[in-house]
Amino acid sequence: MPSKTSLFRKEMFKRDFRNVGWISILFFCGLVFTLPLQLLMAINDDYRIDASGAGLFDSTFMFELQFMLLFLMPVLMAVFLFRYIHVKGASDFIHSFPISRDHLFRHHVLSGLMLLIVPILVTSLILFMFYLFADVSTFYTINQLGYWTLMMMIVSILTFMVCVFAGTLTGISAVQAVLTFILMLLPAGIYALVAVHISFFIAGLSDLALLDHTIGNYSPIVKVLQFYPNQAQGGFLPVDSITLVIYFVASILFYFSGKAIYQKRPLEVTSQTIAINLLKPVFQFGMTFCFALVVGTYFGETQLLLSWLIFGYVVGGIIGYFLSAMVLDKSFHVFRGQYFKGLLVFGGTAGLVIGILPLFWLNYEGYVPEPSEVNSVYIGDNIFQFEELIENTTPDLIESEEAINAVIHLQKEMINQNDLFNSRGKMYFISFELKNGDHVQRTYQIDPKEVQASLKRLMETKDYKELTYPVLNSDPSKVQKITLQPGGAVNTEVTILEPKQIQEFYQHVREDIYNLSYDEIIHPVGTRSHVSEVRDHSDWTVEYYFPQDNMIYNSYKNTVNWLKEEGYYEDAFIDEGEIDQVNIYPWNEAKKQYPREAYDQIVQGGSVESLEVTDKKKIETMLLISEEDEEGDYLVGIYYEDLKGGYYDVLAFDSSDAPDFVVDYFKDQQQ
Amino acid sequence: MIEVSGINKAFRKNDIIRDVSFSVKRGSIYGLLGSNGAGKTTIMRMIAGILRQDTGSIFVLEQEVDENVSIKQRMVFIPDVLYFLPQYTMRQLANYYASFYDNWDEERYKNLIGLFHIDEKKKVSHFSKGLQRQVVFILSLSVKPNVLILDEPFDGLDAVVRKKVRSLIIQDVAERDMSVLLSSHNLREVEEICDHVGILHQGEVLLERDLDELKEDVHKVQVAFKDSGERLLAASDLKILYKEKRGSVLLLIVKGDERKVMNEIEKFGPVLMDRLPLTLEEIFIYEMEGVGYAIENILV
Repeated sequence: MPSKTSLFRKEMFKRDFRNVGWISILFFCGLVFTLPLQLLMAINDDYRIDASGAGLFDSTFMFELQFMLLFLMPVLMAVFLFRYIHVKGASDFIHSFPISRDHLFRHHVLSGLMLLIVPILVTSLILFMFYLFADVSTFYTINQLGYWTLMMMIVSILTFMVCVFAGTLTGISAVQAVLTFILMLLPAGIYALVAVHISFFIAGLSDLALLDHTIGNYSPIVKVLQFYPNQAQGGFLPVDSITLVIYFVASILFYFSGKAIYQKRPLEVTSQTIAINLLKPVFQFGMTFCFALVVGTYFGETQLLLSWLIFGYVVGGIIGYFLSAMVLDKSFHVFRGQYFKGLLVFGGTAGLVIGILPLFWLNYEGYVPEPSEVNSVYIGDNIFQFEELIENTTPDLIESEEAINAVIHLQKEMINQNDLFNSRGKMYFISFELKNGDHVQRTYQIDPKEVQASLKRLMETKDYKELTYPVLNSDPSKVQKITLQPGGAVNTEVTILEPKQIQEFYQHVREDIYNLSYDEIIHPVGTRSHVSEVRDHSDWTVEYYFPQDNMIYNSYKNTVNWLKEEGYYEDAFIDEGEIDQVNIYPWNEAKKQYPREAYDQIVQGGSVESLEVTDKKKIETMLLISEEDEEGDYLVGIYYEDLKGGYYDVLAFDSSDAPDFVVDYFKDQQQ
Repeated sequence: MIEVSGINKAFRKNDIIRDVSFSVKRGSIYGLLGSNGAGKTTIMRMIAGILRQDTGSIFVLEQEVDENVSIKQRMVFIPDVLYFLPQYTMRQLANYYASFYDNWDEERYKNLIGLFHIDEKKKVSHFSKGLQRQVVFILSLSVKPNVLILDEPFDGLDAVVRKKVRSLIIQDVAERDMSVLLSSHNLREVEEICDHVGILHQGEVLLERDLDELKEDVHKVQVAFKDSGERLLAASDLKILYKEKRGSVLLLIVKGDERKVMNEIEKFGPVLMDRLPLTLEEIFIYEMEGVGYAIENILV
């Protein structure tokens, strides 16, 4: 008797093709429309925008539409191919035939993969023909075409296999589709939720800031959708090659798990939400847990109160549990006795896990490197600043023993003082590079006042200043031109071109910066002047980091003296001659306001009498002590000579800096 | 041919089948009787290898049936609600069946098509319900199975077609020693074709009988006695299942060997004695009353 195997496959494949062939054709049409057709149109378009370098994932080729096809078509394919296991009649029909489930599974997966891959390959072939017979070099290279083909194939295979796997878990086709997307998004979601949850209780967690970088690793959908062609220059691809390998391996795992479940699966579960009894508690726990975290995070983040956070966890858990019960029973009638018992079990377990999770990070929280282990340290505001810095330059990190000790001391104190529900804190990011090559990164949010002593100890070190003020390391001989512009509404500016003067200018600025005290660093006193440099072409990268520190202040004695000597001072800073009048108000309350806001409010209120200063000598004094700061005991309104009745600046100063005439005036007022 | 022993099955914690055992011999036609919801379909789906029993064993052709392709090659299951591949014509379906079953007999298929006057080129989904059932019979019988499992096979067929189908089945049983298991809630239907019958009620087999034996074993007799005959009869050791008196005529349902029963009654000197034909329904009514069930509750 001739073997039936070949015939076998043919009739079954015919059946599959009649069933899902249209999806394959639709996929192909979609690909032809987004790729060869767009290419043809772009080639003939004389005014087209140049390609971004993203190859076949450029916006010319409607990458968004490609990604949509990439995640929709395989799901459709799997849902329709495996529809027969969700419909009783079809299930009984095929399963009474002389064919094993193993064989059925293998066959349908094979048909599905073929019908998905063929459209991709044909599209790829068409694009290859273009490559051979037309000049498409501005659009894509042969490597980019190869990458496109591989990435489309592997991601479709993964999506298809996840959906097939999901199909074996449920008895309803719609649930299969939904479950597929859940499976592909859930790890990223849980990762984000757990990270946020832990960050409420654990000090120093910097992963949260990194979420954007790492979350894609937990979900192929997130990974692909994070791609944007304009960033493609640096070799950024929707999915890198290592990840593609992982996806491929994952597809194989999904294939075997799906097959194993299908073979074990009872067939009477058609039209049940969850086909595998073992999975039902997993599903219920998952829903309870995730909803608790989502709602908890929502209230925690918006209210910044522990009580609201816990309230959110409880409410979310209850909602999640009852939703899961409704989904499983496909009914609203879940508010009954036996379900409340389940709520107790699942809610309790979820609560326990939520409570215990942060404990695993206690070590993380308490970990402080030994000074002897540390190679270098960076400290700044946030991780993005750090990343940008090391990407573009080689910063002068903290390396001296004294400064490293100061950072570690500060870190210890921040761990103890860290108030995670404090919205007024300032962010500090610390990155240690250890001698063994490891990196330890922490982010803290804290009110600087609470760790003032430690901050002072650190910020007054030479190393810290060299890290924070790039001017301390830059090479003045590369600077060709310096421009100084006073902060304020005046038109004067100073240009220095003479190399010798440039050298001297830098020398004095550096001297001043090395002498800065902690208070002067966080509250620079006096009006400011903005320094911009024109650098030698070869050194241009250094120019643009830390723009906020390209300032010199009226309190930089050396520099100011030098400027005066050279005759630049008047044009480099606002001086009393340009000021018409200065109005001073005491600033006692409402410190949450910005100075300008507070000033305007006081002026409009009219109840407080201001000290109006018109004497040029006194104005000069005021300009030297006022700061552009958000804190202070007095507010200073500065009215310009040229802008009478118009624009004015608002500065502030502390009572400790207040000159006698101000103190006396307001003392008299109070009496 | 089919050996079911001690099977149990529960759906979502509800017991559907409880400790069911029975067997279908080679070349025999076994009727599974029971009302809707008695568990007939579930048992048949288990024997067909679609569902798995929780406990117990099912052997078909001496082998476990679950995932057993070689057994399924020789067994065809026709469900009560028919399923057809969408948009398939008769010919395409035949090709589909032929690709699965090694024993597909194209010649037989052609003959049957002719016999039932079916147009091969038409889509099966457009056929009437009765015609669709004939289509399935044609396809199934063209496979020349050793075991045929039919769930409510005659539902929706008119008398003529029913007769045709029945004779086809009987022909295969006679010629090829095919074994048939069929389910029904209609006693008369079963009586016409089956040689063995099992009654299923709420997932349990209440009783199982060989129909020929049964008919030979139970007799309906009409007698009239002149004087003390009736008293003597009551005192005798005849197994009387049922007794009814109309005037002086007594109607008896008696169990036992026919000759013995007749001789026994003869002894009491009846003035009139006739043997009347007995339907299966009557036998079951009396048998079931014996076990404490009213048949109306079990069969509809």
